[in-house]
Amino acid sequence: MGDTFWLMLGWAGIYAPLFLGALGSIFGCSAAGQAACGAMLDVESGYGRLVGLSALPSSQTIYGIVVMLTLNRQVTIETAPGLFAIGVLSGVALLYSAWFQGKCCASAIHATKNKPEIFGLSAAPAAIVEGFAVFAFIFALIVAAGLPAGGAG
Amino acid sequence: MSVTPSRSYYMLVASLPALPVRFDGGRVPISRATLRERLELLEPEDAEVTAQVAQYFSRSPESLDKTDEQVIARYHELMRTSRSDLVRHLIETRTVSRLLLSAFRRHRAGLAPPTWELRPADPLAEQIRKHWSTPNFGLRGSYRWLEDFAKHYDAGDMVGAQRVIFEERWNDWTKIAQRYTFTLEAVIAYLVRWEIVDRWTSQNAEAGKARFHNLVEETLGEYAKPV
Repeated sequence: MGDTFWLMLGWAGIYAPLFLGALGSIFGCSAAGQAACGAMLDVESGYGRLVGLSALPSSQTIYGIVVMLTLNRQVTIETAPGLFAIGVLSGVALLYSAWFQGKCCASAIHATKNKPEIFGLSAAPAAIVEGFAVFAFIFALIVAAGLPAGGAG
Repeated sequence: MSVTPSRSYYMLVASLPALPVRFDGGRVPISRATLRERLELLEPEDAEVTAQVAQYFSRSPESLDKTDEQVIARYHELMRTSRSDLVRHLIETRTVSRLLLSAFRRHRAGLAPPTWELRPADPLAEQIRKHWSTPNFGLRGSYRWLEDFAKHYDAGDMVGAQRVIFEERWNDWTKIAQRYTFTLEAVIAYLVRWEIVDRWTSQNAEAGKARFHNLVEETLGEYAKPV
């Protein structure tokens, strides 16, 4: 286990935010999407907003892309540990936030189906979870700025 | 409607309309046929569990005039085949309630205490036999509904007595339903609560129909007879 291993971890760190963020979005959108489909069987109108709510966990993939592009640089033995740490940790945060945001959206869809007037309020928990994803995203960018440039990306 | 079975319960749970806040608060929000259709979303193993619930209701100990021994035999048979904790809870509570009511009726009819035992050294059976002459068998602490039930029963208000039992079950299963969201347990809790609403409303419909016929006969006398 020599430099190659550390370089591999560096590359994994670059791709991790997108990979883990997309994974979370898949879980989250799938859960909320299924709830939206179920709710559509039971309501006569307002389908659009149910589907719109179910797409909320897709933002984590976008954050993942931005973090990945920010981390993307030449992987060296100096940059690899930092890339791995920032990439994987921010990716895990994005994964969980998307996944659990999907659960919040599913609950919001279920609640709003029976009580359309609480649509905005029922989406608040999902918005709060989004806030944590934004924290993970912003601070990943800030911390990534301190990494050695490692030459051209 | 053709649907693909899935282990996920998001779609199924979200497709079920909200039940009324109280069991006597309105009509069933979804028909039996539509409910059955929605349950097709379940995987075969889960469908088996919900089928057990449906089977239990279709041949519920309360729905037939069975003896205590038959009820207990059926209890053991169902407990052996049920894998879900919630279904077991359902069978346990319903059977205990049925046996308790049977003991209560025996008491009011001036008969001897029952001899059944749900399990070896059954504390409930023991308590009933020991406190046969005590009001409500001294079970007021564990079965608070028994006192209210007795009041209605003794006053000859059978609908009121039935309401007490339904209310107790409704509250129990509402608490259970609050613990689960998009799981099989949430589906089971929904089915049990749906059944309570369905029974109450159909009972009321039957009573309403009988009252209507009585009224027609009283008003029209012999002309009320069908031609």
